[in-house]
Amino acid sequence: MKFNELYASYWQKVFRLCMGYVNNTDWAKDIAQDTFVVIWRELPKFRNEASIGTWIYRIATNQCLRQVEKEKRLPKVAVNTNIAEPELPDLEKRTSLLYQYIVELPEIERIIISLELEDVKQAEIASIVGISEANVRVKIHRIKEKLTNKFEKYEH
Amino acid sequence: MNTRIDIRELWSNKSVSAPAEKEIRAKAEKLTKSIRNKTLLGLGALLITIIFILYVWFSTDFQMLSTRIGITVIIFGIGLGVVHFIKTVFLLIENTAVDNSTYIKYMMKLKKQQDFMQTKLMNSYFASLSVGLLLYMYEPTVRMTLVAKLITYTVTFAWIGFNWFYLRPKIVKKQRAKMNAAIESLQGISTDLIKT
Repeated sequence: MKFNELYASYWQKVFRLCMGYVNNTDWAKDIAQDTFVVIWRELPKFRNEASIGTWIYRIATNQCLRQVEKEKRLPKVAVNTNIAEPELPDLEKRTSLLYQYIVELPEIERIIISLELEDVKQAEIASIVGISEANVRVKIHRIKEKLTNKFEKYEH
Repeated sequence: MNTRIDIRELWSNKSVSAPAEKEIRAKAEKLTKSIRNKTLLGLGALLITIIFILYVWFSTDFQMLSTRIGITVIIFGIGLGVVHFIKTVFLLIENTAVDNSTYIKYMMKLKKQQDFMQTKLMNSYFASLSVGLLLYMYEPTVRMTLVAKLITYTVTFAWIGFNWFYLRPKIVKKQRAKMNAAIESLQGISTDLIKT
């Protein structure tokens, strides 16, 4: 597997995953970059024990978890919550809201829902996070409910 | 609204242009180089320390054994510092492609190990510097006048006291606070993982 191919096909996915974790574009870009630095260094050692996707997502999510060391760097919740909102097109506004709602979840839930929204299979999510598939299913259901409630509250 | 479809659509709406691939390669190469340089620097410092110990033992003409022991203990303290430095460099190289649950356990273990190493090693470092200094000073002060002796010992004890009672607790406290905050967050995440 060539690095440039992986980089091309996984950059946006990894970036979104990091955005779901920190909801700050620069910070997420940094984590995504660090993830690809690790991938570049470790790729020669990759032995197909897991699928390449699982392997990449494990590295990316672990890089996110490592942010506990730097958590004081930025406030947890996005900065743009209370600013007099510029007139964003509806889709963009909702997108920002979604990422903001996700970052308000506990760390593991942020990771799980981001992977789910990235269309990663539940069995694979279980193997990335290290919990049972049944547990993943329950958690996804609950997280989606939480997100739906937040959107509903916002709209009423 | 149909949240399932909406959320997915909203989610993939976010994107950012990827940095040039050569930027990633350059960063990776820089990291490899920096780890190698730090290791070499640490090993070099350790080697110089050992050579210095041997040189002091065989070349200087001190009359008392206490002086030699003093010098050795001081250098041993410096050696401890170097070992600590090398260990921290190696802690950075880790297996990062395990599942989250294992990774969190690994990080927690690492943090506790780091905490132990930093505090214990810091105490040994300061203790050997203080003891070494006192032993070393004995010989030069034997022939001093009483006033000179008093001044020398007051200054030395003040310096040791400053290190031991002010500097050391301050460094340890700072490291502890940082470490505890990280361990606490990790424990929180770990609890969330178990919950169904």
